[in-house]
Amino acid sequence: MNIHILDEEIIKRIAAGEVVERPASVVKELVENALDARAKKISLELRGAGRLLIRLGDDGMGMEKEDLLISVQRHTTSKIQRVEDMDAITSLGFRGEALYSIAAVSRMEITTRTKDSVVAHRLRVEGGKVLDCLEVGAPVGTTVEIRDLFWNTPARLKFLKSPQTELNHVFEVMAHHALARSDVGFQLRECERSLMDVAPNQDLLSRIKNIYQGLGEEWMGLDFKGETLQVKGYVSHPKMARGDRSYQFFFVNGRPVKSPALSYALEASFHSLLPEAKRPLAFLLIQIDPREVDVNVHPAKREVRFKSPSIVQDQLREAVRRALSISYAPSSPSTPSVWPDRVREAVGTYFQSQSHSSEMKESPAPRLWVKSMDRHGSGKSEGALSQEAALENFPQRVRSFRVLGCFDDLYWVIEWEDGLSLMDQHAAHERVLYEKYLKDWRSRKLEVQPLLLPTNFELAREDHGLLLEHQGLLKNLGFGLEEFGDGALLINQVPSYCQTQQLKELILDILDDLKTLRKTFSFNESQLEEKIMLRACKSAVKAHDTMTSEEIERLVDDLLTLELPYTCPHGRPTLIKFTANDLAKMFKRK
Amino acid sequence: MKAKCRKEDLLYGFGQVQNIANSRTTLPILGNVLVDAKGEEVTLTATDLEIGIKVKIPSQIKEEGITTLPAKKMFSLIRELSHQDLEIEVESNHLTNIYSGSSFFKIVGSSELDFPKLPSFDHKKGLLLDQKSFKDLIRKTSYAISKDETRYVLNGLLISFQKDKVVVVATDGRRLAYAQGETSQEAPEKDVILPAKAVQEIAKLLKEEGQVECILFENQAAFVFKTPSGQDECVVISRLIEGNFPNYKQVIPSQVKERVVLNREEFFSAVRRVSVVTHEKSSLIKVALKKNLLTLTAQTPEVGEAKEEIPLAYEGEEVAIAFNPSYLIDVLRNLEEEEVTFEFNDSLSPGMIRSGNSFLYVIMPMRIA
Ligand SMILES: Nc1ncnc2c1ncn2[C@@H]1O[C@H](COP(=O)(O)OP(=O)(O)O)[C@@H](O)[C@H]1O
Ligand SMILES: [Mg+2]
Ligand SMILES: [Zn+2]
Repeated sequence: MNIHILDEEIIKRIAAGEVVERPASVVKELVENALDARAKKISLELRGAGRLLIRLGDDGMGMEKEDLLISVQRHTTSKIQRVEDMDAITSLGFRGEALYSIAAVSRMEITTRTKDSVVAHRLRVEGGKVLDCLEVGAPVGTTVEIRDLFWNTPARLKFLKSPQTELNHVFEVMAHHALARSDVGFQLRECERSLMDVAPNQDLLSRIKNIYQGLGEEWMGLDFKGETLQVKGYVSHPKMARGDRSYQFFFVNGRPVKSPALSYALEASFHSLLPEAKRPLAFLLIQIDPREVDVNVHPAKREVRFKSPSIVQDQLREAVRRALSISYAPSSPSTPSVWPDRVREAVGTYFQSQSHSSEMKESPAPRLWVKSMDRHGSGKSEGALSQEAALENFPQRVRSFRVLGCFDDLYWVIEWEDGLSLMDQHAAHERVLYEKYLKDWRSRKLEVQPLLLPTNFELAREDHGLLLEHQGLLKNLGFGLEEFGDGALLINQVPSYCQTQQLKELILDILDDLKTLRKTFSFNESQLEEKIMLRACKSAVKAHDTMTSEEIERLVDDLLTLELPYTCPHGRPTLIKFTANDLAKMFKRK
Repeated sequence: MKAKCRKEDLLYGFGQVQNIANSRTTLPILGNVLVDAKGEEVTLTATDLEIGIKVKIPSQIKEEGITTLPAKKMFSLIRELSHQDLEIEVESNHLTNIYSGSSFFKIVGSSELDFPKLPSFDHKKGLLLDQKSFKDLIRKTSYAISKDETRYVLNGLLISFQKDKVVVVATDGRRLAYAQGETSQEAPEKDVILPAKAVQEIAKLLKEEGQVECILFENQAAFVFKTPSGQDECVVISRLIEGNFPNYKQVIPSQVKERVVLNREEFFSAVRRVSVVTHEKSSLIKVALKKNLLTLTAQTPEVGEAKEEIPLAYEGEEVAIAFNPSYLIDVLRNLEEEEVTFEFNDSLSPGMIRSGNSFLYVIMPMRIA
């Protein structure tokens, strides 16, 4: 390898590098260099939250003496040569100015050795001036030591925040890279205190849990190969959602990036699974042809730009959507069954011929509920059934669950083979209705109920106008609106699902949606349509209505045919599941 | 207070009032029943401030007195007693002892002074209706009462006294049920809207015999239930819904083009069977008519299809009208007559189901948007 000075043309193309602004920006550059040098272990030591000392050691490929000497000059890099290389950057660094800029504002010492060399070299630079370069003994790899950051630029020093804040920033930088590269080990210590210590070759999920403790346990894994990209990683179960995007991580070709486009696609995949202000958590590693992405858009390389953002978004959406529907299956194969062994044996043959997890929704999985058949009267026999009889009596309508009972005309207790769940009949029904509404509407089969007695109500003049302006769209969704004298509006038709008939409220809600959507610059009708459908199904369902177990069974059946059954369209849970394991934990049996 | 009652009577009494007594409200006293022993009867009173109910039960009273007792608790306690008679004795501080055979209970009551007073109406005379026919009117219409709280006038049953007849109407804006009955004496014309909950409670109390006296006030109505021998047995007092009920006469089609006569049972069970394949209760079914044949069909992609045919006399044009099956089921279930007529103009205008001369039901067809 050799470091060379970039030619003028490339230099011009490189966006002006942001000057080093705080310890975390130094760390970011050093970590990137270590990773570019193929380190497997990176350890960082700080004093004074990086103000006094930043020492980053790696076990990467190191530098030869000549390269070492040139590395601290401006625009010197080993990573790109020609202008064309800029179009397909595979390394984290490429501008060749990090070491130079850092060296200018600190006392720097780089100790480095390649595996082909028996000795290491140590270069000392102070305020950009090379002091000396000595032969020393050191292991293969590179250690960069930065002391007295900003000693010669007191103005910069003044802008530093409290040590805790600076330390947090450093931690975040390390964390992002540690998540991007779970194959590499990372250590972070500040004054003998260990803040991070993750071993190399970890799987991503353990890495996530090591680095960010307490985010929640329910992650849904992704492993998706799309047309132009590959996505791996984890997204959170909707119930773990947060109020902000601070736990949405995207890594594009190993580079941690902020990307509104990716966040948007992620959140779109959670559409109707989360309440309005809630954001999913995600750790998504995207591999894409480097020619498809421009990393040279942000001075700190924190952002990327995709050549075809919508193609990327579509694939990401698809990837997340798939993960949601698969991992959302009610029965997880890993949890032990509470079902008595006897019965398991009785249906053993079926279990063997079926893989355990996802069949539940497609085929009427032959899981036998001997007891439930007795209780619901669909099995004739009394007492225990013999194994053969049990199999013969197998009704076509075998269910993988059994409805146990109801509380408050709202919550139902449902028993599964491996645990129980509580179901909110209102939320569940909403989800079912919403999906049907959506489907009917898409296939242009929306059923509407014209009113015998049209309802009319008064509205503020502007509201009235706003609704009438979207009369056509509302009509497509099943609502018949007409002008009715001064400021009043007549509703003469509603979608058939509007059962509770809270029409006025519904219309006022739609008005709110219209107003908020109008404010967003990218207003389009399909957003509005989706919102209105959400509203309409909300008004459709009955809470505290007495439902029979048969109706509930049907509801659960319907729910299980859906791709995303586990929340209502507004993001509240429909079913909350307790596995035998969960129950054992709750009762401190484990 | 010291009163002796029969278990059966007391159970009946508490059974009637306990629906109204609701301890879940913010006023805990409303979970209690006012127990008033006077003369030869014990009066039980409960109210939720919207509806009040009073039930009288015969009793041997040794010492008159008054207290309030928790409704649900008393009801379940009395239900479990094995002995036929029981004696209620109230000590000071509303501590109440209940003796029955070898059982003894002490129940903590609370002061009657906290219990809301029901309006008195003793001096006013009302209109007498047969309980049986009133019950019939309610059954035939009340299911159509709207649950839409924003159209509050529709949240009740219109009871319209019109000289020698009484008309009741309910609608939720999609269908309308109308029934009329005779009154034994003429009364001044008056319309009131009785809230759904009162309708429900009254329907439970109405029997096959005896009369009920309706006494109307400005914004309240009292219903005095009488035994066949004319004794007052029970009273329900309800707030009335204020406002104007929509003009139902406008909604009833004045002319119809076609009319078919159907056997109610047959039509009812056909509708029910067909609607089994609809996904939601609100999904439409189609009623098609052609020469001498009525066909009911429904289909749902994931569930299947259903078709029922009913031969009948029909000579008119071929037509297919879509309805919400639950609106058909509601009306057919609550009629008793053997035949109903189905009247219509076309697939978009309201259709009608009639039974006899005293009942009609207007129903708005559905459409595919
Ligand atoms: N930890 C390291 N191990 C090996 N080589 C390094 C290391 N840090 C820097 N270098 C070399 O020094 C050069 C200059 O580094 P830098 O100024 O960060 O520019 P860039 O990373 O953009 O190339 C790199 O191209 C690389 O060859
Ligand atoms: Mg670099
Ligand atoms: Zn919801």
